[in-house]
Amino acid sequence: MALQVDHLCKDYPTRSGPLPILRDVSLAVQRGEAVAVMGPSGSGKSTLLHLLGTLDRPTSGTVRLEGTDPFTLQERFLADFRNRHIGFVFQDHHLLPQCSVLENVLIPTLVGRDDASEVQKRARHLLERVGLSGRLDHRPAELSGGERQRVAVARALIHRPVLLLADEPTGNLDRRSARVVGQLLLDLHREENTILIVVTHSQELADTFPRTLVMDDGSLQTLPNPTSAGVPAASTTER
Amino acid sequence: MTTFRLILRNLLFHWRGNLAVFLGVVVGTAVLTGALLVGDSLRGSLRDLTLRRLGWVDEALIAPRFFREGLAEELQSSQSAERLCPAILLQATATVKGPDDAERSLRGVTVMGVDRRFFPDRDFPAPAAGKGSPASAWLNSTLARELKVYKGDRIALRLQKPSDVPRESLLGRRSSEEVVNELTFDVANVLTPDDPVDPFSLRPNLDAPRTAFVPLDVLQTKLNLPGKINALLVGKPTATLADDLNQHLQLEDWGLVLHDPEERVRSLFARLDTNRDDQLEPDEWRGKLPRNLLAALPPAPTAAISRTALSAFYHSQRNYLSLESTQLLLEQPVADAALVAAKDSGLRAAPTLVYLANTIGKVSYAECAAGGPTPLFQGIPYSIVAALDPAQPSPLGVVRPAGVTQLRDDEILLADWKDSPLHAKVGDDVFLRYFEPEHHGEPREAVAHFRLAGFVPLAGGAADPDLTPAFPGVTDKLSMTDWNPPFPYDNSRIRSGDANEKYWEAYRTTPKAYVTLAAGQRLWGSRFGKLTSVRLAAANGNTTKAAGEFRQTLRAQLKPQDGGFVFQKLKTDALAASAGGTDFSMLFLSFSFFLIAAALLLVGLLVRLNLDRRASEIGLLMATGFRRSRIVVVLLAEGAILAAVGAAVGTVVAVLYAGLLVRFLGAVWPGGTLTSFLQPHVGVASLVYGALGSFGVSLLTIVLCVLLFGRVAPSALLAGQTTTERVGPSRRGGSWALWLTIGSAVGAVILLACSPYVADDEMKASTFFGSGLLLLTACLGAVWVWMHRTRPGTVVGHGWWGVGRLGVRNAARHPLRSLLTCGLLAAAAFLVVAVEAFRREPATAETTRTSPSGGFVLLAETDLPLFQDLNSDQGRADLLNQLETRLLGKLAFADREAQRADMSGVLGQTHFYAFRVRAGDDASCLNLFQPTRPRLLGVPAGLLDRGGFRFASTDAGTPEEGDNPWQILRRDGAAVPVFGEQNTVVWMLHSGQGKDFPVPDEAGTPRPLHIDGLLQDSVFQSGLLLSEDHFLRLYPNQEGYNFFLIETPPEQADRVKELLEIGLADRGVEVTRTSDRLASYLAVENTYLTTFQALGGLGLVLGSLGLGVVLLRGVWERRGELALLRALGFRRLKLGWLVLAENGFLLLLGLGAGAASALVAVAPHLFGGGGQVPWLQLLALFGVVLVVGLAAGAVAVIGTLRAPLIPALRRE
Repeated sequence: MALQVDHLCKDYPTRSGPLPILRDVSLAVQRGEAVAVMGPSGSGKSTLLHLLGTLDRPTSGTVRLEGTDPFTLQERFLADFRNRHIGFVFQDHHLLPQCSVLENVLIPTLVGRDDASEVQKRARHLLERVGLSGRLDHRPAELSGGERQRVAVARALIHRPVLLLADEPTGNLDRRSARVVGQLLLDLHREENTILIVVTHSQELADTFPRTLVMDDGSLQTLPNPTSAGVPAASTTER
Repeated sequence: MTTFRLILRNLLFHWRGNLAVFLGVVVGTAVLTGALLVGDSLRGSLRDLTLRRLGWVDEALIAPRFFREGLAEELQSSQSAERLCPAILLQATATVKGPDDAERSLRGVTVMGVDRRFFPDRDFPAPAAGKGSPASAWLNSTLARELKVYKGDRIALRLQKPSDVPRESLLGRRSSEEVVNELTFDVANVLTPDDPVDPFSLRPNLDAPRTAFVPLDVLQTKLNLPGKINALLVGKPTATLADDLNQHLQLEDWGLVLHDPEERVRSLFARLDTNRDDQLEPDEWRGKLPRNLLAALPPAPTAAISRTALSAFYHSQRNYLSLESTQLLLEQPVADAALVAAKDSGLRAAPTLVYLANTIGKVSYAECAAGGPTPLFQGIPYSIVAALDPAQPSPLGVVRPAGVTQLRDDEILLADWKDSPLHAKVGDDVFLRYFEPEHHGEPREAVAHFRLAGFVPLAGGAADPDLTPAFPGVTDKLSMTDWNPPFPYDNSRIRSGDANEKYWEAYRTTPKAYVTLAAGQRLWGSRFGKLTSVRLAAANGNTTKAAGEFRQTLRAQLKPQDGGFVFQKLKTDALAASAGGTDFSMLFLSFSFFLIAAALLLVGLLVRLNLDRRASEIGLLMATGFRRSRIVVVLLAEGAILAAVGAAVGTVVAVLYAGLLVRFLGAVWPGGTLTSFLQPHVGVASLVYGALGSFGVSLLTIVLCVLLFGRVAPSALLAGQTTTERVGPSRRGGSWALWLTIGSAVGAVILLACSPYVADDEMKASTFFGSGLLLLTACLGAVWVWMHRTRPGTVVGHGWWGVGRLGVRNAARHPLRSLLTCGLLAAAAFLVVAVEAFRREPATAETTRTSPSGGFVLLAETDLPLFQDLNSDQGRADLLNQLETRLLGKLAFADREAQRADMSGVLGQTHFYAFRVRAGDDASCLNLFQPTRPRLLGVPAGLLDRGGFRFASTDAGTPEEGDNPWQILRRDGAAVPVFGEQNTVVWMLHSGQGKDFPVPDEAGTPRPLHIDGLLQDSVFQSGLLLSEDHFLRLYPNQEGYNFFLIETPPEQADRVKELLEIGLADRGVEVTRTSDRLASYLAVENTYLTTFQALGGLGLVLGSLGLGVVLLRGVWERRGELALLRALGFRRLKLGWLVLAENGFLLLLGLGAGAASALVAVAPHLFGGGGQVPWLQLLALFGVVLVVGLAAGAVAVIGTLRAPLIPALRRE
């Protein structure tokens, strides 16, 4: 299994004791599979995404990506792992305003030892793919919200990650832009053969995913997805 | 895209935040480097001053005696130096008569007798204005300005008459007219301030020199010292200078005369052979030669005496050499060298001391039993007594009486003089009345008793008037009644034609009595010497040849330094001293501590604020796989670039800042003495060290900020969070702080409660200071505890009060951040208040013995030494006579007498304590040069007995010393015990209690002075104090008194001052109130405090700006919160109040805690009346801090509240 999550728990300490956010979540996702995670605010969707993306550490449980449990890695190897295997798209695009579009896409390559011309070529390719080949030298401030998010998508894919995570990628976009970005994510995921996990409140976006999980009070549930066009090979564990 | 490019992009994009950090680094660098540059400026200015003052002179020989001017030519011809200039240097008081005939005087004038060798390219000396006009003098600008004289005016210079004979010896002349020489000069030229010679001075100090340049030959003539000088100025000396000097020094330079028979004949002929026919006619020798000499000339002369006959007489009767000194007494090193040289030359030596007995008397035992001395009529008046070894063979000894094989020290031999009025017989008790060989004021008579061992026939060695060195006024007189000695002399005791007069006619200065050398030296030996001559006899009788050999041997034996013939390396020493007594770099660095700390804190806070603003950016980088270390490197690289550029720019700003500080220092320095020479100097080393130091500490601060950024999860960073919110209960942090607070508070109370029972002042002060610090700790601990309380009180109320309370609550959101700024403000306020409390004004009313004034109302200093005792009747009469002379013609006789009687009454209530002074560097804080040879004061025995003054510490070992620490100065030991003023010893001499401080003695040999006591705030800041006895052992040739402490009722002070200024005008007196002197010292201390306060205040202001940044950061973090409140209907004004309440609370908390704790710490000082806190100034300073802090907060609020509402709300 490309992504295997077992008994994942996350608590936050409070004055009145630990506050459970994730409760014994288990999940398995194959390479090439796309999953949408929905649920009410505070249900733990983003926390799950941060744990999968190794941006936060679980209280207990394990996450394995391509057989590697990243939380067993030292901090510096964990960063490398994230750099190489995980791509992020956030609701807020988090582009560096001081850098151009191309540079923003290239940001993750700064920490690697990739061939400069190769990564440039790929960045240009990705930007062409997301329809921004004419805006390479533009600054984020000169782009629309949808365009910025497309740059973020390109940036997330620069290292051909195994896992592409998107946290409310369309949350800040208008409906048309949201549709474009959602479709782009799915298309690129297919092309790159990544695991795509998207946290969203948008039923419209979730409907485009072959598999939808619902997060409720820290636990996962599977929803049937009649419009799913994806691969139905996922196995979902509900606890 | 590269990392470097990313760094540059970051720097440019976040330019506002980075600019703030950059400015912080600039300020820190400017302050740090500026402090170093102030040190450079002071050192550089002192160095410039030194070089300007010394001009071309590198070394100088300033001898305590006059020597041949020819020595300069001899050294010049030996090419010992590129430039050599002979000179006479004397201290003088300049006076000028004003149009109203009133006299204006100026003391501290250096008279330089020089010639064209000093002014090679100028028309010096200018010819006298006309026949009968006085010679011309050139004045430097300071002297002319202060004396208000111009070209063409006439001035008088009062200086000390040179005297070969020590003035404090029996034959020294001490009266005013014999000590003071008044020379008149026309002012031919006044040098302009920009003239390179104008500032010339051999002893650079801060005071502008007052110099009168007079023609050397004129000065020599006026001083009756033709061809003599006392100084040699040298430019660019060669390495052989000292050796060359040694080679060329003659016995004459030492003031030595070697008599041999031929020289005696030559001398007699030179004196008596007026017609220069090489024989003495009867009218030339009659009455002028002792009769016994004439009788001894074969055959007895009736007509002319030929040179041959006289020579034959001397070679047969007095065929010996005699080494004598123009000082009359041979200095001990010279006497020692002479005896060694005699031995080396194979000569037999007879050390000899002659003295004058006022009376040789006889005591009858019956009268002795009755307790009364022998009446005078039974004695012989004014007789020479010789102390020598009578057993020496001819021609050095005397014929011993039969039965006397060895003369004992308590025995005396009398000349067998048939007309002697003594009528003594062998075995009689014979006494000698004589004046003590050393004295201060009037000579004191003493008596010594001897047993008469026998009579010496007046023949051969016992009929030798040459045993007595020549002394003008006595030995050159044809009759005893004509004597004019400097001591009290009663010529009525000599009657014309009596036995004594006849003896004088026949034998002149031939001794009438002989005692052993040991006995004579015990009675009449003094610090000036113990021999009047060393007589030498050659075994083969060839005295002419022996004289030549002995002369050479003695020259080789004499050590130039024993005679003061030492070239002082003036320029080298002065340049070393120009490094300064106080390290101003370190001083200003410590003064600037809070300013630097505040700047760094500001840098840290700004860096942190920038990081906060860039949290999501950092989170994104982490999300994309940047390691934390990599991010840290990127951030540090940005910081390093900012620090580097900031340090570089700050270094430039530092030059401007240092210029301002230098101006400030010049403006606030008492007396304005610094403004004339203090100029900004920029040392490359300081720039480099300052820039590197600032870069280093700034970078360190940035590193700490970046590292302390913590291990915030990337997800939190992405959400804009830069701190991990404390959510769980954390009693641990609050608990230790609580205990610390309680412990500190209890400790403070205990110390306060104990303080009344602490006896020692210093311990008491420490107790209060400790309690203040504990209180400060308790205050800050309480703040910490308050901020960490788990159940804060509910904020209730509404309107401004309620919002204000909420603001105060917000101060506790980030306890560490708040405590840091609050603590910095508190610490700065603590120091500012504590230091300000030590600003002092002299307590004019404090005249108790244990006060800094020692109970003395006045002190006086003179240019020329005083030899009379102002406490004696004679000394006081001299003062009153001077007063009366001054009043002559101004008041009627009766009024003059009344005034004299009145002043006499004032003097009756006044007591003077006279100190000997060894001139040296002013070691007080008024001098910025490093004192290497501090001025030494010889404390009179009277003051040692009297005691007084306040001591910071002493080495008292006995109860007596504890009661009166001055007794410590009487201790004998390898090191001389000395006292010094505490500040002088610690800060200027860089020494301390119990340490040794070496000073050169008269011969230049380093002698350790052991610091056995530290005076507190005394009038003795300018030097070190040692007992007069020890002083004279170190400097036996130092004569007279130049420093006086005056005990008089305070209400009489002005009258005593007036009397002294009239009575001692010719000595260049300056009478000062002790309170004024103390005030001048305190003024410097207060200047340092002012500077510290100015920089500390600036630090406080900068600290309050830091608080503003903290606030800005807090507001930034809470921008969503504030937006929400706005959405809820809060007006911007209310929100502003919310933030300002938080800011104001922290400001007041810091200032209040610091100031209150400081007031506790300095309470004893304040209650003891030691300090006058300028409350208004302090309040104003704190007011400025408060305003700046609040303004910074207001800027933060305005900036934040201007932000659009919706985006800020979304943050929530």
